[in-house]
Amino acid sequence: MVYEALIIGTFAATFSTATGFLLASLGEAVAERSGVMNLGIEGIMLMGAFMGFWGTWLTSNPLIGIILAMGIGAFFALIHAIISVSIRANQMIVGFTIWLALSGLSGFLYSELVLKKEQFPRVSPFATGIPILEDIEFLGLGKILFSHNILVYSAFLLVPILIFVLYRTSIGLKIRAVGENPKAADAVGVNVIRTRYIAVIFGGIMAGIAGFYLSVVFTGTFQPLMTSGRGWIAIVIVVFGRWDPKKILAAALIFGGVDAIQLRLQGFGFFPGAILTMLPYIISILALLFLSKRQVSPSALTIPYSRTE
Amino acid sequence: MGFFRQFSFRLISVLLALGITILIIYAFGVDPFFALSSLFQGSFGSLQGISETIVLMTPLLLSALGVIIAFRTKLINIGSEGQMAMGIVGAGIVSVGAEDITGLLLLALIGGFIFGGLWGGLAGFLKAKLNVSEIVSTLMLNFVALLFITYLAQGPWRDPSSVAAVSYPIPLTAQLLRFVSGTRLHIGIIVVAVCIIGVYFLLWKTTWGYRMRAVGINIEAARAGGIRVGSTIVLTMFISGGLAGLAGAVQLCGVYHRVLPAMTANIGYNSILVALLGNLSIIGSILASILFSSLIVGADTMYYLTGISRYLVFFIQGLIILFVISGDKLISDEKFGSIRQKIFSKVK
Repeated sequence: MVYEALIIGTFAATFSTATGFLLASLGEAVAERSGVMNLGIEGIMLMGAFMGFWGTWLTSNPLIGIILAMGIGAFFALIHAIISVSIRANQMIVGFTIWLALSGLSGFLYSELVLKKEQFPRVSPFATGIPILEDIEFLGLGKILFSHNILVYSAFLLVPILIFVLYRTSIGLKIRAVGENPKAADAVGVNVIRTRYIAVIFGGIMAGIAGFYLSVVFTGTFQPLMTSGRGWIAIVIVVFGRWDPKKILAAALIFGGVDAIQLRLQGFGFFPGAILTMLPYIISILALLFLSKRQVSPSALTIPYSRTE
Repeated sequence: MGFFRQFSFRLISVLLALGITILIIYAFGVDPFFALSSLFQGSFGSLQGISETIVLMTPLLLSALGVIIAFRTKLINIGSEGQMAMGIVGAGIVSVGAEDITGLLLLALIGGFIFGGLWGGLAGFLKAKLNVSEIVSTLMLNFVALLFITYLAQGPWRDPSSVAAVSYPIPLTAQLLRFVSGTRLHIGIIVVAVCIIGVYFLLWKTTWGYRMRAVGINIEAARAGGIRVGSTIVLTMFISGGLAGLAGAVQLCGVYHRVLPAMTANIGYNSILVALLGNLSIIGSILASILFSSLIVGADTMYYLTGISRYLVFFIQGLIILFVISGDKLISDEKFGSIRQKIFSKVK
């Protein structure tokens, strides 16, 4: 009986854990497809987590929270775009620095705006579970598939939507063109700079939502530095997923599964907690070993564009 | 690009960043000038403060030296934090809970260098042989190494006589002795001084250093010129990681004397910013490390006197770097020449 609950719980947790990665990875994949690598999404996720939590906590309305999270994600992605696309500074340095700056800003804002008012703030869950379907007992399917928050379903729905947008719309074509051969795209009249801005800001919005998901939905609270490297894993997932939404989904599910499993194993006491927590990172290193031979990154990734070069 | 011009522009960038910080502090109802002055009072206004600033500078600068070597070879090594952690493991293997044997300190420092070096070299090997991006590999290795120290401190090395999850202490012969009573100032600063000279020598006076810089300037030209790029990459990452590992060993032997979880305290990540702010030069990194460690040390005092969270300091540091790299690009990139002309013609 306990085993059943454990296995069902692990499967269910796979989806909810994967969502945190998936949201951020899908956004980053779009940005990288346009040629811009945003190493700051870990920091943007933190700001999204804080703003999302703060908005929800202040107004008891998660809608306010998610709007704030998206807005802050867009704002800092805009900053990143200005410095790396327009000013053409080294994208990786910019992203890394933004991460450090925002990990500080989120912790500071949390301490000033929340901790000073309430010691252990929490927000309650919302829009979770599909009625009737979630009560299905057979194989625990109700719990595994139908008991999740609306954001989980949205994230999974986003995969086919993004596939459509990326491969069958003109904006998707522009984004891909600008990431593979910006010179050619420019020659045909595509506004490289504007397309990259759009892609990067989209990535930021998604990272903001991912942060909101982490604080408001997944944990119900905020802690400084609570993303614990999920943003970085999201970047790794983009590499594994070959910048393709389908494969990113698969990679996110794998990571979600590993993370869900190791968390549950901690309760057993067979393995030391710290070693178990290492599992997702070790898996990502091992996966890197086997997948790196065939690099299919967008050709112009991390290379700033200018007409005269 | 004149040194003075670049320096003055960087100064403007730093001041702009501080300006924004002042606005933020003001927005939260605190007197910003009092806040900033309490910050610097904390790091420079007392013997305690100055000594703590130097104590923090020591591993920061050591690790930054490693970053300089890697970045100059165009290797984006962001693994200093993990390499530092493995250095702590290497030094700890030798010294944690050990007997009072002479020469333990030297062994610990060497162990720290080697372990950190192996950790960095691993990422270098992955890059050279399998073309694994060093950004991703060093990052993941960071998490693994940091968790490993936590495991050691909570598990096999745990000191049962202490309430917190810390390791057994290291004996006196493994310690970097303190030489100013009442402060934590320790002889690790000699280690840094030696390494500064060593790194300068390595990069500019040896063939290895030449190869590293050549690979950094143009990898294909270096390869065409006969340089074995693969082994250069591995060697560079080994030394880079080794210096970060040495920084960890210094922290263990000079400051904490035990292994604690989270004892790397973001020094590795900060050292990357220090090296970048210092324009990948040794002198620049020394100046940048003074700035960064004074900010971090002063943050505590600022907190006690004004209640402003220490986290703000990370933001300030990030802001400074962002302004500096933007400013650098704006003044040096030819394409911005027309904007520059307009600004300068008005300033004249």
